[in-house]
Amino acid sequence: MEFFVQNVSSILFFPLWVAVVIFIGKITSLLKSYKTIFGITLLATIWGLISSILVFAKTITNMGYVFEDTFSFISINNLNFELGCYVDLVSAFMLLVIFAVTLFVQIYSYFYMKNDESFPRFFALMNLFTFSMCGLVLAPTLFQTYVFWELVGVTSYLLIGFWYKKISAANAAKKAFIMNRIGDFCLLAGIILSSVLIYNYSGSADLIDIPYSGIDRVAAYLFTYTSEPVFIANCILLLFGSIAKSAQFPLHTWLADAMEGPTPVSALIHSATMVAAGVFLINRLYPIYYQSHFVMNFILVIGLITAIICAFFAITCRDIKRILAYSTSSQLGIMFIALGTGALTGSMIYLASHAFIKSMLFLIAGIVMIAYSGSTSIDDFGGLRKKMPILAGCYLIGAFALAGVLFSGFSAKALIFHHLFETHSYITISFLILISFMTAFYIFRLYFVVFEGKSEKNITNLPKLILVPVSCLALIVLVIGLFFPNMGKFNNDILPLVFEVIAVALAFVLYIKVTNLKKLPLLYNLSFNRLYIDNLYDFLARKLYSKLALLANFIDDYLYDGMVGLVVFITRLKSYINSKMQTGVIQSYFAYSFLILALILTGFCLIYSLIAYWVEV
Amino acid sequence: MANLIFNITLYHYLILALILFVIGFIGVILVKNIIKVLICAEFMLTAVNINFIAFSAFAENNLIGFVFAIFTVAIGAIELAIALAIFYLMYRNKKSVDINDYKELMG
Repeated sequence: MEFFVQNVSSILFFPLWVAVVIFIGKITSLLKSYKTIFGITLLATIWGLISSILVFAKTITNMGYVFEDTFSFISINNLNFELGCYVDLVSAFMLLVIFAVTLFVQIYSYFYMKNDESFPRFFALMNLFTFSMCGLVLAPTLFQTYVFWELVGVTSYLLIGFWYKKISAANAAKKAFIMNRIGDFCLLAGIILSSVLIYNYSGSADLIDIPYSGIDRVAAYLFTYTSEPVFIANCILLLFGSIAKSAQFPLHTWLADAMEGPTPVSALIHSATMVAAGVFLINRLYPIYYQSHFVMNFILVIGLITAIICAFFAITCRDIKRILAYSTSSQLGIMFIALGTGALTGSMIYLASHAFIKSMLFLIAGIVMIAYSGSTSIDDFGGLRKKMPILAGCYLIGAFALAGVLFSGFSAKALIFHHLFETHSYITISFLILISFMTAFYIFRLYFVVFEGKSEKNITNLPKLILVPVSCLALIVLVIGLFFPNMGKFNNDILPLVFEVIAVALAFVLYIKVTNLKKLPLLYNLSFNRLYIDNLYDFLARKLYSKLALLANFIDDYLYDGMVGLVVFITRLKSYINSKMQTGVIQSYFAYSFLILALILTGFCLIYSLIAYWVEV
Repeated sequence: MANLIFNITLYHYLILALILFVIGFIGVILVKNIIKVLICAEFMLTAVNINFIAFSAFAENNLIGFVFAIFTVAIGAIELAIALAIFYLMYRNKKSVDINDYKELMG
């Protein structure tokens, strides 16, 4: 066990090496067999999974165990930036979740991408993503977190735009990148601001890169020595990084468009791992945020808004992957709520349970899409239960868990509810019940649309093995709830359960009997058009920003280029005059030289007489 | 007035030299015939010589100016000979002594 903890950096670098090997193999066309590529990828992932299980076992058995292995990356005088690995309970837990999901998603993607000619690129990028995600989770300092934060963003961009010949995919990738760019910029500004503040106030440089091992001291310095507004501004800058990455309210629009990428990417990156990085970062910086009541409430409110509006969008959405994407945003909002109210353990447990549930649901969505030859519109689906009973069973397990009625989802949600009842935050509880109600509604609506009803369409045959990773994930979802802490304290938690069951029933009734949500035109329109937030951003980007760009263009053309143009013009004019002086007539040269000589002599005489006059005086 | 005319001083020589120099200068700049330009250049040379000799004559016990003037005349003769030779070659090329026909240096 000790061996695996000491060599924890190996799980970081194996995927990177595999990515490099696949890349070189692709360039030199030495590595043509898809099976080999898949094999080495799987090897790295299984090694990572075994390592992370043992590392997690080590940290869970020794409470408060911390392992740090760093080297100096940049060293200028006494400023020292370190990279390396930092293992504690949170990072070991995240590693375990990441590798468990990654393994199944990679097995699934082998079947999913088998006929794609860009198979090597896909697996190289997936390995690169595993590398960057592990680097993010294992980061010992906020500095390293930022480095891998950007790497994760880039891999996400490359994978969303994987089918870059499709214009919508390329646009979605750009949108995701720009939205994340806004958050990354805020995060960087926050990091620099806190570094500078800490350096000024502590006087020593050992906290300059904000190490997580000394995060309590960082928080104390920041809170004690800065004024309230500066502290809050700093926290909100740092938070915006998390908000963009986790697709929370003001920047949530990129996640739904990110579904243009291949489905395994959605399952791995945009539901389970990368989007959870925001929650992970808040968890890491929790001692800083915890200092200010305002910041905690800010996290809570952002989470509430996102959870409610995204669940609201999911209710009327007609695209299977987008429904799941909005659901992801909404569930991440619940994690933000948990963090904002101080339920740290609850949020991490919820993160894990959601990661398994949502990646399984995405894998199922991918299979459904294959069955209906690539269509994502729910209007095409129907009656799949009879044709694929195992898939329907898996979906039901996922849906019940996501709605919080049974299994791991229920246990995780119970933890959060338990904490909320203990702290008597009844307003949050009522909102959370509303969110659970909506969650249950949209996820069962999807079930009834896809698996019940009837459809005349024939479905494409599938490789049988593709169901294996899905069933494995379903099994994890089934049993993992038993391992969560604080089981068996459900005294207060019957209330949300009741609402969720009602929601399931309501979804059943609405979708079997009525099958029409358009009877509430106002609400339906608001939800279907996503509160017009996308249109607002579109307006901002297209109208306002293009006007701004025109202004900038004008300034560039006429002010900056004008200055350069002036220099050019003066030089031209001078050369023109000079060239006109070259008449070729020798007499004119003689006249010029005589004139210049006369001028010089006159000048000499003047200077001489001035000096003589000055000496005399 | 008579005093001014018949009592010859240094200034008379200097003014004579100045007049000669300006005539030569204007001739060099404005005249279009190469030979005339050369003659005008000799005017300027002569004007300078007069300056030398005048200063030398009015200074006491100083013959440097005379020596300089003799040197200048000798070098001027050589210069004239070379210039005439060059002009002859130019004339062979273009059959012209007009200075406007030699504008190859125009920029």
